[in-house]
Amino acid sequence: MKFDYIIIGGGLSGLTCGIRLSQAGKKVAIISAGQSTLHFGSGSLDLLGYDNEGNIADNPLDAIGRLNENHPYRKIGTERIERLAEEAKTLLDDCGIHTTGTAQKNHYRITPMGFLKPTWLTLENYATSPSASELPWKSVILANVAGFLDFPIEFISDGLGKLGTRTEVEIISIPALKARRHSPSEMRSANIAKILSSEETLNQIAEVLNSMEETAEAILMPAIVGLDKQDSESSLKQKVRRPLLLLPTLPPSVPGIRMQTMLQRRFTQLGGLYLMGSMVKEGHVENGKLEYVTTSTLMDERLTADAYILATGSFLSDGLKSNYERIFEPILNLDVTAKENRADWIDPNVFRTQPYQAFGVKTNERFQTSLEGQTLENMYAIGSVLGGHNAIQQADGTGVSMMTALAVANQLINNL
Amino acid sequence: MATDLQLTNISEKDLEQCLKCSICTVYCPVSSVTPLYPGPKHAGPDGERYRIKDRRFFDEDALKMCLNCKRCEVACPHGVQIGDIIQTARIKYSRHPVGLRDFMLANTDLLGSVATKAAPIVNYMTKAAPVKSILHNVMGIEKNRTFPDYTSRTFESWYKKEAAAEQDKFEKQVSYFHGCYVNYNFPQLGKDLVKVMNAIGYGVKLLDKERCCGIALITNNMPNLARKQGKMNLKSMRHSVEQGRPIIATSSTCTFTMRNEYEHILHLDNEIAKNNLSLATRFICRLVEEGKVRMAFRKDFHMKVAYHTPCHMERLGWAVYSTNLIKKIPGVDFQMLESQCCGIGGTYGFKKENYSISQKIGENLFHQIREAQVDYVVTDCETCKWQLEMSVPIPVINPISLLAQALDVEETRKLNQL
Repeated sequence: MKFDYIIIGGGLSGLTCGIRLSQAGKKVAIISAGQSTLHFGSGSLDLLGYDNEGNIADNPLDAIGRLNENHPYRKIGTERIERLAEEAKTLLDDCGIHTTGTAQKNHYRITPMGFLKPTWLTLENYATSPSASELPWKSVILANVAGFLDFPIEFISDGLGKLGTRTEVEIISIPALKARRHSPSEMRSANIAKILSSEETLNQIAEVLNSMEETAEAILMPAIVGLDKQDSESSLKQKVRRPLLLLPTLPPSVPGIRMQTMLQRRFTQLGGLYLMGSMVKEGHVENGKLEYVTTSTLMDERLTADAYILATGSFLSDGLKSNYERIFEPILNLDVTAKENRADWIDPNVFRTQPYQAFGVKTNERFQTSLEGQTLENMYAIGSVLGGHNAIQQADGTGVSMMTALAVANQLINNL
Repeated sequence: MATDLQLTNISEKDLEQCLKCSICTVYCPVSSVTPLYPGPKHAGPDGERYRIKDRRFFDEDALKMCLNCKRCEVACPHGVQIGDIIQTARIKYSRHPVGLRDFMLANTDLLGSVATKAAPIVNYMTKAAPVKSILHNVMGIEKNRTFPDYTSRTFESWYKKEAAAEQDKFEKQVSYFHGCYVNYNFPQLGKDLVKVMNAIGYGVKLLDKERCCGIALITNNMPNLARKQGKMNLKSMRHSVEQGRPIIATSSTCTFTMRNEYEHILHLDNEIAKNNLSLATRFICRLVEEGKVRMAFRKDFHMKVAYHTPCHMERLGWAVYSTNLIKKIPGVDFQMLESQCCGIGGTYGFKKENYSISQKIGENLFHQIREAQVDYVVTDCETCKWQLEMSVPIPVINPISLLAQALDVEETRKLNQL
């Protein structure tokens, strides 16, 4: 099978790149070994939350110039990042994923532990604050569903209290959610959202929310609506008299799953081929070029393309693997930036910076990968599989995914 | 030494690769519509850790709600064979004898060979309300379900009389695993397959001995019989390959069963199937794309179709071949439906205790089909066809039948120098 481009990995970076290339009329296949880490998403996308010294980056674009020079953003450059950030937002809009925020100024999302973290774009209807030290409300109702495990409400209430917002905790339920508790360990956000997808259940929930005392300015509740489309979210918001805002939960993440679904839907609409549940088994390299790949499901079928894009993610997604001896990229054994000595991979203090977090596939300025020191000119790497930055520490993971995806896609489209 | 440890300490069906991320449960069609089924993570790797320690943790009532769609395995980011863990647990830990209903539903060969002998009567009876009521109340077979008709002339008997003699004229040949559905219910699909293959220059033979692939035996807890039939099918396939004939099938589930379930659930050595058994659409699509055969289509063929990906097709990952093939027909206005379970799960949806779950699961897909407003839904699975035709008033056909309708046989033969 022949394509213009083959993308290995179907998460945020793979889909962003795939959509951009498809929009330009290219024939693209995405090969995805299972669902992606978007299922752990917060409903926000980070560009750059913290600078190199660990201080909050008020304006992410300003802080880019001061990043380590092997940070992926440095390869793209601040000016291009500014343009790509706009492009990313437009691409999301085009997929029906509507967000607020700009690259020039971070706003703050509320974590499932009740902290504020700097971020770039947040989905509409999710609770945010323009400030790092306070919230826009004096008092809120925190409404949780009885039996829902993945929303640590005491932490959140405590956290919001410290920011000067008075919280009132309300535990709510409706008959269908009570029935769901038959499997108590499966009271997860996605399962609840499947129930809260009909007008009937939304009306019931709205009725409960509207029956609460009218002292609080807003109602905050966990992200348990709007799994497939934003419809049920907006519908509930309309039915509730006070401002209703959502807070992210522990995974699986409803906003993340929706993003995955909508990106995938758009990619397929544009004519892309999304091979789900298929793993790249082998890549054949000849004369510094990848000639074809084979997959676990299509067996001896050789998939060929002009260029290949590795978007397999980091350790969590098996884009990088380790054993007792080394850290490696499992498909082609591409060159990686990892320390030789195993003792240097981790810091024994779990709260300190973990060196392995910044390991990844080695690339040049154009995100071309290499094999035993030789550049693979038609094999690029994007997203979390790239090294050179620590996504947890710098709050730049989703930004790196989208920026590098668009940078490489534009490079390919413009034959740069 | 340490490396060896890590390399060899891999659990069966990759059980220990499970991170408990719950992503599989998000995509489980059953737990999406009923809280009574805890979902694949809980029923699979979570529960298995306990069952290994003590069989009393085996919750049969919950596990038998799994419809074996394997969508959990497709979604799993770490390759855990979740569906296989659940099926294997049901087989390993269940102490309940198989009831008459399940025995009848699962023994498709037995039922088919009896029913075809008296097809008109059987077809009449299975539509009659009193009979359905008895089946429902006494047997536990859902009365609201439309049963597939039986044919009075099996595909095998048609083939032997009408087609067999022609096949030796072809230099290249394949063996056709027709499956129970084509043989007992819908020989037309088999006839279409013969027509298409002959047009592109392939003779079609039958296997020495073909038995039901055994999927219904697996899901209804009759692994020994499934294994016996599996061995017979594999033996026939081996013989076919020795004669230079690869094997093709028109059912995604039969294909999936013989390629995957034989190994993962029945522990049969099925290398012969993995290397030589293909879905007909994959076989033909690859021939066309490699330029080995050519096809010409009727100029007057115009059809708006939507493709539905059956669950086992999703697991095989081969929908791309069927859809690529359909898209090669110039008169086709093609639409891809989002891959969702139709709810039937083979014999699952025929059982009265599962009927409402089955229909609820299918709702999303039914809705998509109604919206699509097409002439045909195209799919590679016969039980999906039954479920969809019963639930949405749009005919459902196999891609091979669509191809047979669209093909200009004379032109195609000429193109292939026949």
